[in-house]
Amino acid sequence: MNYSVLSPGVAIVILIVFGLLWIAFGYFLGRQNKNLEDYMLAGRNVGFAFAAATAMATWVTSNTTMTAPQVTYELGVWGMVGYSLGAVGLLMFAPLARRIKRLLPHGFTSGDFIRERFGVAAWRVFLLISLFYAFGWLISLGMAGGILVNALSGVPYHVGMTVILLVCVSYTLLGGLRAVIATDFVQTIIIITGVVFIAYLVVDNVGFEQMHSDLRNERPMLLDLLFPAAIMFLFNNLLFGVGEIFHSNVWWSRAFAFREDTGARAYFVAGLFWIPVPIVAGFIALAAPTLGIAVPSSDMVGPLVAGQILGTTGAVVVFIVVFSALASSLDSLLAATADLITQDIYRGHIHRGASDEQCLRAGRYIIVGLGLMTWILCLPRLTTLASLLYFTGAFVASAIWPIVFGLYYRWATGTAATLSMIAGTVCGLLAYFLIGYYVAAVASCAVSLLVIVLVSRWQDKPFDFDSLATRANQETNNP
Amino acid sequence: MHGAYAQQTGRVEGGIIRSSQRATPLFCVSWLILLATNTSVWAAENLSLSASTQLSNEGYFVLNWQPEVDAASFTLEQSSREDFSTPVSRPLGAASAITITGLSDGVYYFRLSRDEQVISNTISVTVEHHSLERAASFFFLGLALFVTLILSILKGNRQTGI
Repeated sequence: MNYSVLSPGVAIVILIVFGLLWIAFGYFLGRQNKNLEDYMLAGRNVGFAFAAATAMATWVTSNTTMTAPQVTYELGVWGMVGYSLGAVGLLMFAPLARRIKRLLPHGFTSGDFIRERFGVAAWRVFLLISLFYAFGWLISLGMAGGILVNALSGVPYHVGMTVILLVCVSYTLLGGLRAVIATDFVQTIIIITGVVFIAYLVVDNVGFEQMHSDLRNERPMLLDLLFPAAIMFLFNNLLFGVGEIFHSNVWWSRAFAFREDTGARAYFVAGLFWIPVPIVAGFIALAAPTLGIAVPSSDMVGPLVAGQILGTTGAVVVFIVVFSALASSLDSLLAATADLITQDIYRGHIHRGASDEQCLRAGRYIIVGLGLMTWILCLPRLTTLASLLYFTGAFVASAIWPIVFGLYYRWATGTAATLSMIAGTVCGLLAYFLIGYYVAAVASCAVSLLVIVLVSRWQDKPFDFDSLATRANQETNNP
Repeated sequence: MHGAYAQQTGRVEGGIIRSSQRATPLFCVSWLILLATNTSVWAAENLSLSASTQLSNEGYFVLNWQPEVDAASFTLEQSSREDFSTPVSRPLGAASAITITGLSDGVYYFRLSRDEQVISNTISVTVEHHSLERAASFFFLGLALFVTLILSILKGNRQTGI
């Protein structure tokens, strides 16, 4: 099989050059870390430019650059538009970031908030959801790395996946969140420049009329605005994105790390800049029928079309852009998940009262362990990227209401939050298996809302927000 | 890598039997006789074509063939008629499988050919999209949840003075 447009040698050289660059950057920045707060939260002093860049770069993932074309290839124009609604999560997290920083100025993780606001039972359910999601995302990123390298260069899936994981684990290990944010800044510049360049080349090379005509004749549903599965996908994707961002420690750790006046603005600007990226990435998938490309697996359509349209130069640009997008998300997720495990599982369950030094050491082992587990789980390449990703939608959408009501409203209770996350997840999974991946988040979110409102109203136990910050501050160091 | 695709796309061996038909002994014998006399199906390279599903609610599915060979000169023929009187041909390039997307409701027949000679079995996949009523109910449910979410955050911000 030889549909690749890059020689394996070129792909390996790019991987090595950029890999060494990121690792060296991580090592350089890691030398400035003095304590646990430096390592986990970059000293809680990240300014606007870096904050906006890291938020955007982290949200431009393999899921944006590779799953957006897949969803467009499967669900058509609505798939492309629906994917861009993922920006709503970032935009809506802007006010939440300000509230989080005010409520928990010394917080470390999203788990800290859930534990103090809803109690231990809700905390444990939340941790399970959060870790399950983190692994789903990590695996999708590792898989995307392997698929990208394979689609563009023919280098075996396992080789590309291994190298990309190794690079990201290395520089996250060396530099902590400071390295993650700094590399994200550079990666954002590469991503924006690359996407603009690709968009220009696509418009220059592909005839819109021919594309439209071929789609209308061969794939009519891709242009049909009444495509049922795509209609269901629209708000499902929006709510999935909201669930991902609202619950995940990737975004909470940044809210803690950004300066108080920075977080809300940074998330808002990042959301606005993010909107066109999946539109451009998704659009190129619609050229596949015109170009006569036989797409073996729909998650390969992005790199395959880009390579064919854009030639070797374009393929190199796509390779670098997607590699940067992958790395910028993988490192963030590794760092934030390691923080969550260190703070909420190691310090919260295994070694209560562990010192900062012990947590710092444990955090490094956890990053290596996460990388290793991700590598093992990526090996079998069990499913397509979209199927894997939206499977986690059933879990994360159930956490939306506990987060929102927990942050703003006194009436939301711990029992209600626990039950809403469990019931939402179960119903989301049922919808996933009985109907399709494009309804899992909607079902989960709807049931979760119903349960948290009904149970909270029935219990009627108002929460005292004034005590939250004090208790969280005490418990953070000794949960 | 071929193996990876094979794992990923879980097969349903459709053969030339439609999903709605039950394979009675008489029916099977009839097909065996037909296959034995149909030389175009049993060509020199006898490939087994299969689909990831026989009923698609989204208009997309994956087609695979066994054994996995270089498909550079193969063509996938698609038709809405069992006799392939109006086929659409798709060159396969070097792919080891192909994902078909964007089909509207109907029964679609597929087979592989090379140099206008059929080299695989024929399979059929039925596309039956979800009803618009079901799609609309999830759409409006999602819309209602989104509006509730926005209002909850706005009200929360106003109450907490953010």
